[in-house]
Amino acid sequence: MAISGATTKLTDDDLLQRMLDGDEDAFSALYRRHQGGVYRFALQMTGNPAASEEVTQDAFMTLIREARRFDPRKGSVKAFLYGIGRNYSLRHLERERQYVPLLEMMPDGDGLEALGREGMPQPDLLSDLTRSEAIDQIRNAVLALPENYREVVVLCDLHEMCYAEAAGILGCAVGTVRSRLHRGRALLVAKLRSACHVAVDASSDRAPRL
Amino acid sequence: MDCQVFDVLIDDLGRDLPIDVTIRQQGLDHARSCQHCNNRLHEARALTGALRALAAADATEQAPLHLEGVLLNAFEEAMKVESQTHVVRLFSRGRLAWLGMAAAVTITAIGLALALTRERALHQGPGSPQARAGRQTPGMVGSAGSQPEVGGASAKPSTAQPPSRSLPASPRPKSNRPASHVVWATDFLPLPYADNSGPLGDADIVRLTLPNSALASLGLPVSEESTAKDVTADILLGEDGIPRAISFVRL
Repeated sequence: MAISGATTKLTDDDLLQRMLDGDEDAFSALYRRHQGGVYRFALQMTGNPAASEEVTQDAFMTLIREARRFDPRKGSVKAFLYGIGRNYSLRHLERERQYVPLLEMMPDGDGLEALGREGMPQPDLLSDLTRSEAIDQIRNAVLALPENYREVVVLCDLHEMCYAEAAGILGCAVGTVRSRLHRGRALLVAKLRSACHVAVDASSDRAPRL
Repeated sequence: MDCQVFDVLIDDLGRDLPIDVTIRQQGLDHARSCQHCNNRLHEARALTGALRALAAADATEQAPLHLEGVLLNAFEEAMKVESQTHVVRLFSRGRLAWLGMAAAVTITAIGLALALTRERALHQGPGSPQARAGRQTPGMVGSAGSQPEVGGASAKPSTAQPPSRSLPASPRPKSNRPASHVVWATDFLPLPYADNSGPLGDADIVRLTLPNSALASLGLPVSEESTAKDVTADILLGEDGIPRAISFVRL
């Protein structure tokens, strides 16, 4: 379906209002604007394309059914959709919990401190890994994070949301987001290094050294 | 700045977030002076780079194309249901009460209008010029040209098409005659012994002037004092020629 130019220039709130009035183009424009984000969020949370499709469908079905419940004072349409997507993703993970590999928790509570004691990853270990393999390592490391850390890392690092936006989606305080991100990133570094010292340095050439 | 404060800053520094310039510089200065924190900052930046690489690799991931069609169909269905629900809401609770009140007011207004019209017609009455010219009330008949001719002693038969199973109340049309020729007539009264259960078929109405005593042969009560007088009446004859009803006429 072709979406008119006028529709694509409208804000999310305007599109939602038109959608409530029965405008199919408005719904289509909203879908096209946000389906990618919701789908990727679900994919990065579940690691399962079929589940991500289901989550995306459920999220927009919920939007169709319950759009009148949306309150712009509480957050954006994007946050509303991500919030629904998050709930469905967590529900899926709950169902599939027995099949998700458990995180190999670090023996020490603070991953960054432990990593600091062990020192830097060995750059030589990167040489025989391709970029796609390195990305797969990162993806697996993210998927291995506990859900409450994973969702913060996905929102803040992969979807580049600010702390406040992530807090709105997760329904928690900004301070909680910061602390979970700190902990999640520490776990990621530890996980990546323990998984053959590869992933962290996969893009280290892009990160300037001091 | 010490290592504890640096630990609070490390995510913002490692993710290149815009923070206060002074604080940022203090953090970087501390990393230069502390090998442990320098290593951690390097790891944090490397991790950020790795996660951005993952985000870039996933950037092309989209929901399957068919999903949009599925959702648009669902949206269409939902809108249909919504509009039906809206119609139901229109006729529910308060709105139904308002609609009922509006209907009652409308019916009352129509009733009043009809009553006023009727009352005006009654006030104009049979003696009024308008009534004499053309209006008639039940029981009053102005003999029309095409209907039984009001004509003295001799009665001219005329044809009429009364209802099939019931006797006509006043099967005669309005009169166009001048007021001086207005006649009065009662409604048709069924004759006591007539069988009015069957269809009248091609009924006829005949006007007759006959002695009062002749009414007895039709089953009507006649007083002995008035037997000598003549009466004028319209007789409704069924298709079979049998009298069914009578209407007395006063000329």
